[in-house]
Amino acid sequence: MSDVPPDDTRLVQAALGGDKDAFGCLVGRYQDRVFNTLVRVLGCRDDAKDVVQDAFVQAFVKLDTFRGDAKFYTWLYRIALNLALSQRRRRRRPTESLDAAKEFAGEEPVAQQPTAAEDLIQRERATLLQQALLKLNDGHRQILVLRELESCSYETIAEILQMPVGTVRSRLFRARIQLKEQLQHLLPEEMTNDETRMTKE
Amino acid sequence: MHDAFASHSQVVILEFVIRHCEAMTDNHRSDNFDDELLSAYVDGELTSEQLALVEQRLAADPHAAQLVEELRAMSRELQALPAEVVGEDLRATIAQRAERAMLLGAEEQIAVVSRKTDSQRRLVWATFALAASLLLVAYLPSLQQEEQPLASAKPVQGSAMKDENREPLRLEAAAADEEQQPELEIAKQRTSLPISAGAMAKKDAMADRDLSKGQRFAAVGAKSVAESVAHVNDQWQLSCLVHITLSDEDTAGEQFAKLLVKNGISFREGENQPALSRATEVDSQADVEVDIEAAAAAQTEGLGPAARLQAAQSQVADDAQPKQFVLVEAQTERIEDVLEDCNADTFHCAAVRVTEQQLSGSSIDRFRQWERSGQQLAQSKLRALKRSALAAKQTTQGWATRLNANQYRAGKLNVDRKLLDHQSALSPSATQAPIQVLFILQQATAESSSTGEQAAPGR
Repeated sequence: MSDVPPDDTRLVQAALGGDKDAFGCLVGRYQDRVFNTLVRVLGCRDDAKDVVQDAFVQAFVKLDTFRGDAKFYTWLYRIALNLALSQRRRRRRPTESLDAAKEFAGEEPVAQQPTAAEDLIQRERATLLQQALLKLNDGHRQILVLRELESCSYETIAEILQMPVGTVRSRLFRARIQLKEQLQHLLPEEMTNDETRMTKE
Repeated sequence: MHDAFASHSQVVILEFVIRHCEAMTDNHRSDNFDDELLSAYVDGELTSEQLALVEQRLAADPHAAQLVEELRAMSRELQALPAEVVGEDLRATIAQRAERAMLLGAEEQIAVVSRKTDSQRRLVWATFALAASLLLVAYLPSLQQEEQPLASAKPVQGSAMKDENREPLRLEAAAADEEQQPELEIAKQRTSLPISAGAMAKKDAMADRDLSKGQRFAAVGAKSVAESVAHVNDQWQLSCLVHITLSDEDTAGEQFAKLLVKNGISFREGENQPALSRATEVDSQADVEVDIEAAAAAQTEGLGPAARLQAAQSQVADDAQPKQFVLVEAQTERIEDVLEDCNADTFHCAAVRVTEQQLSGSSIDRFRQWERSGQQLAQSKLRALKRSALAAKQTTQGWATRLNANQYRAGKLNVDRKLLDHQSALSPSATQAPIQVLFILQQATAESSSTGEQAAPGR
């Protein structure tokens, strides 16, 4: 049994031909990947879930406008990120809080994980980084997520965000500088909180 | 305990990150070297030339090398973030929503097409001459109960004109002499001759004069209607005229409007009010005489043509009856329904007559089947059946245009376009070509009649 899954282009063509299962395959293939990106961009699992559904629905409705010269997932990401931006503009959700960051810092540690201490460290680290990410502007956060979490090449990022590769490079660098500044701001606050908690204990 | 430990670990990690990040801004400002290249170097996105440049820089500048380490550390931190998963299969939900979106999208597209059709229809309504048009002349005689097509009104003898009951008598006489009298001049123009009872006094003098010519007729407003039709035809070619003689019931006009509404043609304040450039309505040939006389008088006073026209009309204004011209656009079937209802409503609609204009052949026959003279009520037997059928019919869209009577008399024919509530956009009937109908409501009143009588001796 060497069933090679059909590539995206073939699935898109099948979906355009009326094969609903073909588009379902595309959903199954990309739903978690897009969802993960949207969680980091939006800072909320519920919102990310809504947007990922909206993105697939919009992709299905506009599938006939999809050009074969682009990859399906870049097209899908562009739809999803545009929807995410619209969502944030509408809701103006305060995503900078630590609670919001903790919301998607990772699943609760379970048994058979390396150690409880390591897991805690990982969770705290994720919380802090996510909090810093959410303090970036939308453009910087998007490009960082695409690069660091999705491992997109500059060319792919340029295609998704509809900008020149040179802009991708400069914006990515500025995003990293911004993230560093946010981490600097977060650290003293966290230290203060930690000292307070340790004193109480 | 765990919290304290975690916080301590966190601080250690962050110190590491920040320590490396600080180097980024401190160490690469002495020359034109682009720090972005270091970031791209970490990402492996450099050209060979850029790579050589960066490697040379890293070998010479420990701060640059430190920054690269910082960027790599930050990148590792970010990539170590746990991957989020939806936790459920979204395929079914998305498929359901996608199907619904496709359906809604189709409906929206249809709605857009419908809206476009509406605007196109309005444009066609104003400019396209091929659409079938109807001119419905609604006539409200003051005392006349006789159901008599006005176009068949015939000349009457002068002695009868002096009688107090001259109007019904004249009409009766006209009906009696229908087969013997020559064709009316206005009938040759393919326009019918709605009679305005309010101008009957003026017709007295006219009748005497016409009698002397052997061409007497008691047609009132014939010229006005003809000119109105000509004006309407400037913008919309009327296919035929439908004359509806309403009874003298006070509610006849209202009932007529209700009849239109019932057939899906309702009056609503419209957005476009194209104005016909000049007045056309005069009540009779006597009025034309007045018009000419007034024009001549005005000319002697040095007034312009417009002023002359206005002066002439102001002179006959008291005699003119309240008139309403309503141009309606609706589907052919809807017009047929209107005519059918008019035919069936013998109480309010005394007579129905169709005069062809552009429309002919079988098309005009579709409307003429609902013609009815004063004595012909055969079609009324269909009333109950058709009413019940009409009640079940879905009303459709159309426009009604009312020509304001006052503005009309004042010399300016304002066409108030009324847009019917948009509905049943998806109904098949909405896709049919609309028909334009102009109602000319002419109502007689006792005051104008008496005024007319006063004016007559002066002539």
